[in-house]
Amino acid sequence: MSTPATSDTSAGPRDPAIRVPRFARPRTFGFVLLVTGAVGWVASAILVLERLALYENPGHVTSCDVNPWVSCGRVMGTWQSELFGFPNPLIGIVAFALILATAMVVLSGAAPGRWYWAGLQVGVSLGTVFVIWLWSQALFEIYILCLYCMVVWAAMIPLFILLTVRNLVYGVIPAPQVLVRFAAEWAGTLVAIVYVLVAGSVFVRFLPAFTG
Amino acid sequence: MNSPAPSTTRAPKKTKIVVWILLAVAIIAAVIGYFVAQNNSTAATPATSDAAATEQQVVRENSRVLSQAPDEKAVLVEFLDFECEACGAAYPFVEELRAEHSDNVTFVQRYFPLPGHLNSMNAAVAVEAAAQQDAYEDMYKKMFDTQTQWGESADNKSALFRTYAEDLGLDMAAYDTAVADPATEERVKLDIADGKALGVTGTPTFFLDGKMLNAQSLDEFKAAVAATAAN
Repeated sequence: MSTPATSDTSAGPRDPAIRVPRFARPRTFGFVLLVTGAVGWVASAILVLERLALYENPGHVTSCDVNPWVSCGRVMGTWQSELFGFPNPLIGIVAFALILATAMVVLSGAAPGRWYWAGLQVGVSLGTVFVIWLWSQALFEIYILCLYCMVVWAAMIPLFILLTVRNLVYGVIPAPQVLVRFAAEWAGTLVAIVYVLVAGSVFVRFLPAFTG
Repeated sequence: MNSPAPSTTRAPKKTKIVVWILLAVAIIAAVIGYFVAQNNSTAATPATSDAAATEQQVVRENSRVLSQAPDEKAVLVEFLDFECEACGAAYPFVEELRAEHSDNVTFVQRYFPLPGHLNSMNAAVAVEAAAQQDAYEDMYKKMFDTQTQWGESADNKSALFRTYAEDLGLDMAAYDTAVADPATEERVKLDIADGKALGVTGTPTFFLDGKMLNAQSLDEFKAAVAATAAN
């Protein structure tokens, strides 16, 4: 019994009038999860290693200590970098590992049920809220950039947007058809818009630092 | 442009094309803006030669000398930020060194206020303004002695620094003029520029006789200073 490429029956009822965008097809979405999960995981892992090096030797110069405004080492000294009492990147390696595991499951042909996708949505959404808060702290409170942290942002943005659209299309998130169709059409563009806005915000905020 | 329910996205809607063009324009504008800003700033800052740490760049004519050694055998330069906790921690240690080696080692300090510290530039300007009335040492000590009270504050502490100047009995009219004068901030920025050219990325950063001193421990530091002072 082969599952048609564009349907995912175990994922629940889906409005057949809505065409499934290419990225949201099961196997392709598996790749989306794989790439964003891998990028996020590697960046988090590097941050964990640098943090460990700093614990051992407070004078350690991290591989991303570029100048006073771009320095992971200095960010790691802030309370925001260990909001829950331990370094944030530890959350990253656990959470992105879940994404990678899901990717493996989906790429292998298995089709997780609706509640699984709903759970993933909740997790990724919470992670996104966290990342947004960290972005605001980096730009407006700490005023220092952490390179690998920004790589994690770069992974979270498509992960969140594409997962949300995927869940809208498959009815995991109930929504009016107009909204779902819009989301399906504009998913890629939305990712690009958010990338440009975030990059722009960093650029505008740190321009004096880059050129001063 | 109306499409039937299972819409095809083979031909992207016009709006989408417009949005993508706008995104491209925004990116191009940012890239151009960056290069323009770069050009403007390199035209303004003094031409910095290569990053080799020569005596000239580590210490300048106008660098604040904390104490001049009568029998100078070595020069210890510290790039510091008055709001930086590490500099605050190094402060008693530097004073200890000064007490021990002031005969042979000249202690020079240069401003390197770090971003992420709201009042670091305010503090540097305040200290420089006091220094212009020969009160560098007193003001620098006052800053570090009180650092825990105002450090990491989200408010502008210039008024507080002004009270320090008052406590020191400075000419307040001259102090206020100096603080308001853009030349004072430029003076601080000159130190920052030199520091960056020398590879200073954080504070405190020490240069002993023109070379960056990277000691792993306080003892190593003391030994290095003692060694050059003895020669």
